[in-house]
Amino acid sequence: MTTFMRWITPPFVILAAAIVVFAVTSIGATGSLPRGSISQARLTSEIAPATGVRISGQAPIARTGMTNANATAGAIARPVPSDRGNLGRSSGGIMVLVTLLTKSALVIGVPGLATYLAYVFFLQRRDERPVLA
Amino acid sequence: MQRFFSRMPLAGRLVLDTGMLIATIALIDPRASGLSVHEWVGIVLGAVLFVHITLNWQWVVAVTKKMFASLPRETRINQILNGLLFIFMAVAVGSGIAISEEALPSLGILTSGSRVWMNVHGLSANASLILIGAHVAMNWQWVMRTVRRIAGKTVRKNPSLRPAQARGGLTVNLPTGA
Repeated sequence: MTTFMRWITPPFVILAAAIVVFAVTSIGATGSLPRGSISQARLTSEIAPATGVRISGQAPIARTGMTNANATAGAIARPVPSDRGNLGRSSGGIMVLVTLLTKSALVIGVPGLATYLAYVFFLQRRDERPVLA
Repeated sequence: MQRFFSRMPLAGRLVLDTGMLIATIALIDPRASGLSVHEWVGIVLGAVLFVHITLNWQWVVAVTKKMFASLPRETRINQILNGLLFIFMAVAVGSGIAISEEALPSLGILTSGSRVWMNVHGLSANASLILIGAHVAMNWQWVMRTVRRIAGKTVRKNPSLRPAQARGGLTVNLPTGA
């Protein structure tokens, strides 16, 4: 296998496969292909004024009940919290580690252990199984 | 020292895989890690995923060529698991980019933040986590064997070390999974 085939081709094939998977998901979930991201400059200069698209960190006028001028001033001074809840900042400290380890034990560890046991006792031949002490 | 460096590629691969697992654990709870860290780690993990698959490319090609042929049950299950894992991770990374609130906007790129993509991201990320547990488990014997080899301990010549090959399966000199 040449260097080209070994190291250059795979990333492109993987990227193409990932794009196909994402496009199919997009069609399934939203009914259309992903429309791509918009640069901030283009959004502020062209799209937002014409369509009323909310720019990240800016409060929607309907939610604040302010007039146009007040809403803009208020939004700059007090950005709305993320739509995804209070995710902005890490709570920090040892509790972060405890939370992550507990969740990973449940979400990754339990399925992993179940798979390993199934693998050892159902997939491996009896004479290949490790001897349990 | 020379012996240590002769084992570096294998050690490097193990370090990369361990790093991916640690990154995945860090991604589990955006509330704990913070949204910015969550997004950047996710983007880096997506890039490292390319390296991980490229390193295991021979296995991918070998099992893909035999997609409709007879394969040992273990290899077939690995093939299905790895295929699903790739699909869910591609969707999780893609949808994560689509709803980015910190990483991409900090580069001047605004994203949709659509509810649909948030739901897709949650579902695909949770499915990926479960499949990562299964993926690690299916390759656990390779991990242990590699750790022993790096530590300089003798590896037993046991048929269970390469079950797929022992049963006349794939002869690629790689772990049983990508």
